[in-house]
Amino acid sequence: MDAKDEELVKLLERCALKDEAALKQLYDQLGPWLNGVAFRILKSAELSNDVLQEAFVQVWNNAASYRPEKAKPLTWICSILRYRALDRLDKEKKHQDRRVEDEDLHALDNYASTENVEHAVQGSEMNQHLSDCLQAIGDRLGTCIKLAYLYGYSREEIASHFSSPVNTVKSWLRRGSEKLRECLETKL
Amino acid sequence: MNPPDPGQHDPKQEGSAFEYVAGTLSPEERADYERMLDTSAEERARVAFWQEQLLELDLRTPAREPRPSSWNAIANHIQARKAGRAGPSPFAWLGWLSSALAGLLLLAVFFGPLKNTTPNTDYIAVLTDNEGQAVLTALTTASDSRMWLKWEAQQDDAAEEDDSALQLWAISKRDGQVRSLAVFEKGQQLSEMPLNEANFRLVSDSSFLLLTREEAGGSAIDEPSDELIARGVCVRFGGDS
Repeated sequence: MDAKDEELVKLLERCALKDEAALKQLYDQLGPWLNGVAFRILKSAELSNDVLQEAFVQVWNNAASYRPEKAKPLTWICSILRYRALDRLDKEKKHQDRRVEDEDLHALDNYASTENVEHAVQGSEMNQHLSDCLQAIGDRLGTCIKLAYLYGYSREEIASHFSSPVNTVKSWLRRGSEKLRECLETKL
Repeated sequence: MNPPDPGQHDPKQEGSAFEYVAGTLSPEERADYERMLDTSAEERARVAFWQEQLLELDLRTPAREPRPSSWNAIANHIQARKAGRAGPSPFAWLGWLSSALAGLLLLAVFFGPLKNTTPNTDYIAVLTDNEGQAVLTALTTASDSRMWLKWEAQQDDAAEEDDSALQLWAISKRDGQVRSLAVFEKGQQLSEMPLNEANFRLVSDSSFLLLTREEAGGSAIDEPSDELIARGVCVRFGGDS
């Protein structure tokens, strides 16, 4: 565990003791980045701020259940936010017809390499390995995975984009994840 | 953080774990998978693997300054929950724990005569209000799959003028999610209720139980309202099994 993770773990430990100043420190350090993640999925400043608030309240309420040996602090916190954002997206989708946007497709390139990486959170070298593996599994499988993970697109929405059956997309996602895991494990 | 044991490789389950993390499971598939997560350390390891790996994509996401009001909203929310507790001590959370421990002692008195009818008590939560007063004691018994409820106070004051209900929730130790256990309509103070397997798992996996006031029929959005009535640490209690 690096120094940055250790600092976050200590802040979570203080949150478990209901130290509000620790939550504020977490918010100051991670709030802008987490809001960016929520905005990426929800594409709404109002919704992303709502989800950010919900996520920090959940971090506060559940800090005592965080186990450093099970997950890195950033992973634990970001997962809380992502599942909140995905839940909210599901609710919003009931009221709208969503299609894969060109802007999202163009932005996928930003996630394909370490160029233009946002260093605000880690402030250190990024892991190039995932990018390499996403490229190695092929353009279509990699695009499917990124559209789903980065923007919360459903199988149906991805299928519509590729003009393919939904079951085909499901199979792409599963095959893609298997290839990705194999690739990732070679370098772990 | 480590990859799942290759000896336990199961492409179907690997795929489900990946899709759970990516968010592409249908609501039904997601609910089924979450039930599996409740009981399978192997599945939780698969999910942890993908969360850790895919976080790298999130780390490349540009930061976006939250609205200035966001922190105030968070602070107000947690202050509202803390309001009325015993002072501003950072160790105020111990109040919840001491209430639970006190509840354990009280159980011997309250439920002592029922010992023969509440065998294998597995989990207990003493839910207290903001002033530390016990509102509800909840016990589960694995042997007959029931939850026993002892209401310490009437909760109808605020409900007299409208149709509202009380809802019992479990906060998961595993993922921090809050999930509904039961809805008690106005004036309904059950002393026991059956627990299906899924709800029993929710209790056994929970760190806290919450009691909130909701609209009649329970929360429409399946999330607790801000009107927190009581909360209590969920602890394993005795049990012969």
